[in-house]
Amino acid sequence: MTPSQAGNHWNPRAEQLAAYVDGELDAAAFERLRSWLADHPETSAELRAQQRLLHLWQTAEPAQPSAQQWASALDRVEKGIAATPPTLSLWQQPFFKLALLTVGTAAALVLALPSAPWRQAKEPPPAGQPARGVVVNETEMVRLRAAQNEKTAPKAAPAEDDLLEGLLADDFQWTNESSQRVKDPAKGEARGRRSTTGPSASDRQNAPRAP
Amino acid sequence: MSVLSACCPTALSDESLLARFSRGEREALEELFGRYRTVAYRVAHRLLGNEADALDAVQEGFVKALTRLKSFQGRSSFKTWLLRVVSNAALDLGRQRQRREALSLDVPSPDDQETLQPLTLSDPADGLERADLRRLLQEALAALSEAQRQTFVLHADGELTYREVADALGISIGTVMSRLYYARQKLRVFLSQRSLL
Repeated sequence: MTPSQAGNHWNPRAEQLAAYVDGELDAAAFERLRSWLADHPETSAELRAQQRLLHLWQTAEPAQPSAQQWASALDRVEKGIAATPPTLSLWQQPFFKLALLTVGTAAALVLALPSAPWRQAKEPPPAGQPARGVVVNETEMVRLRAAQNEKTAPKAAPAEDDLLEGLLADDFQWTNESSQRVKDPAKGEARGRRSTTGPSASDRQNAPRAP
Repeated sequence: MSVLSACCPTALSDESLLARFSRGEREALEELFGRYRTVAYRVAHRLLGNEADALDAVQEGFVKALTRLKSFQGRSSFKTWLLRVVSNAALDLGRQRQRREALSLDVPSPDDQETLQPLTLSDPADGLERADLRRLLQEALAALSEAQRQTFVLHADGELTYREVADALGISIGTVMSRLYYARQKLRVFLSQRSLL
């Protein structure tokens, strides 16, 4: 009979039957199984036969070798141990030490590199951009962009009066020195360029006074 | 043999002997060998069925167990570790023998004939009877699967507990107990058919 859990009735498992044969069940489990076996003669006969088997097994133990055979065996064991190099653990293997040294050296070199990623991350980010890995919300982004625009915008234009004065001075010079400018276009070009930023101090001194 | 036992009032533990063996003390090896050779031989003999192969398995088992102590690492007792190695060595030898026999075209060699002779026992009067019984038990054991055979022999002949067998084979205690039940059932059927049970 194969022990199993069948239906609503308790049936012992193979493990419990083995423990019963070996006398390894505790008292409660032993009593429960014994009362079950009373209703299951086939299994009961099987277990009794297994106990007889174990007894038979013990009576048929193999004979032991002679003292001389044992001495010879011990001698061969000693020679076998001497001929077998001891098995080393992983960390005791030469290749493991070499690999460890290589990895350690490589790690030290990477740490010492100036272009290492973590070194770059420490440098301040460009104006208007958040630092790497920093999450910026929309409001902060607007503020940063404003700061960037402020830095990159052209310098403030000269005051309106200065511009007018410069234009008048240029116009006057152009009128009086037109012949010279034609002869020397490079000088005129320079003047024209300067007009955007206003006349120089010498120009102002040479300029005639307004009536 | 037991030089260390003779000199010391209390027997040294396996751990102490293994430590001494690691330091190169020959007496420690002698003591360990004397302590476990009998049980190791019993296991090997049951798995192989003859004296010469069993002795080979015992020697190989001791050599492997003592040169691979790093794998042992004290997770179980030395006896459990040794019997595991010896039983594995015995199964390996058995497989090699089967291959040799298959290649020898079934012609029995003088060595094979010798293994069929009954072993010398302390009482010659019952030698033949017990030899026959052993041979029958050997045949019954051969009918088991390798896993069942190893489990049964480690428990019955190696005198290991369920827990120790489980540690030796790397299986659960439940599996050990289950294997034991079905192994004994098969042996019982085999021997009942020959009117031995």
